[in-house]
Amino acid sequence: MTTVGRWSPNKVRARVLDGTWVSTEELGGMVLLTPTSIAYSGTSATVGANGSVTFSACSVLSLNGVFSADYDNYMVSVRHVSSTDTALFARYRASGVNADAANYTDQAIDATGASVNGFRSTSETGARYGVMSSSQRGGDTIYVYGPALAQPTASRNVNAGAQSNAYIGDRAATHSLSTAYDGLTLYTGSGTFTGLVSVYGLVGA
Amino acid sequence: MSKNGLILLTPTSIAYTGTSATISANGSVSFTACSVLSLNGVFSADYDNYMVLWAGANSTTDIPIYRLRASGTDATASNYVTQNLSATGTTVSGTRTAANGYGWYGYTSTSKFGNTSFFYGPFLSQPTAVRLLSVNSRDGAYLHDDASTHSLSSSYDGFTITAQNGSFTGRVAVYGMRK
Repeated sequence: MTTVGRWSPNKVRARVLDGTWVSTEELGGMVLLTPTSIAYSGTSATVGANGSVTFSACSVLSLNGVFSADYDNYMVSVRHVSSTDTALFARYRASGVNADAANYTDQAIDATGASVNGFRSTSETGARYGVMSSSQRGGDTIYVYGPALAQPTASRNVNAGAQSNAYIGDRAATHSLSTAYDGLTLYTGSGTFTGLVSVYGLVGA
Repeated sequence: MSKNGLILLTPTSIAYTGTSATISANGSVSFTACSVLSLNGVFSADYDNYMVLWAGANSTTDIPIYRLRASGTDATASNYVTQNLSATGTTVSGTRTAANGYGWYGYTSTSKFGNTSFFYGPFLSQPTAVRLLSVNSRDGAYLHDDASTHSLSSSYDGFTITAQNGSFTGRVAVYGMRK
């Protein structure tokens, strides 16, 4: 008898006739995930066939069911253009409910021209990430550490903003509750944003 | 041929100082209360560049260090230079450590830390560069980035992470970036 099964989220193995196991030759390290559902405030948001979410003129976009026990850590890629110069924020989310109590802290480094500034925001109701601009497209890559674990969560973004034509708005953000979350809500500081968001699970990390 | 761009790798072996460290079935390494953790045989000719994701908690706040490693032996000579960029509150600071026997490797804290690093060409017989992005819970939230170089044109198949203070618990995973 030949048995074929899923060994881990993206690796398949099979037991062959001599009783030994063979597996796919390599384990892909980053898996594009599909939200179980989304919610939004704005013009439109749709889940693509591969799991990425395209959104237009939204002020709030929630992705449900992207964090799970399959992965500890995640990478979130967002490209964005906003209706006004503003910032990208996020809240963790469990069973469709945002964690919006004042348990977020973020530490910033902003750089524009020769000006480099740091600031810390404490007891926030959401994590602040990079800057968004109405003039050109920008992007954020956000590493999220352990959101589905019943431990405090940390995240780190790398931002390319278009304010003043080019802008760095990097953040290190923590959330202090030891709660497991399955989703993420992205929202703007003001106005709306348009773009694409993809959530990747990092296999084995 | 697979189109996976990022491949999770399995060390050929590990070594550690501390309570425990184990290689999981998929190749990532979980460790408990370790002050030293070495991963052997993760860099090879199959990939030029790598991403390493290391997350967990430490018994205290610490600036850990790394050393490249070949055939089970750390490269300890003074060939590492690290440029650090840190931010805490309104203080943004940079530090360079020159001609050290190690490179800085992010920051660890007691509640939670996440360090994502990129190794450029460690297995190539060329100098190696490492860039690290860190988040940790010191002072609530702390940003600590490192860019380090190792000047020797030697080939390395692994690396060692060492705590300068305390011991760390968590998991590390090494990914090869398909050429």
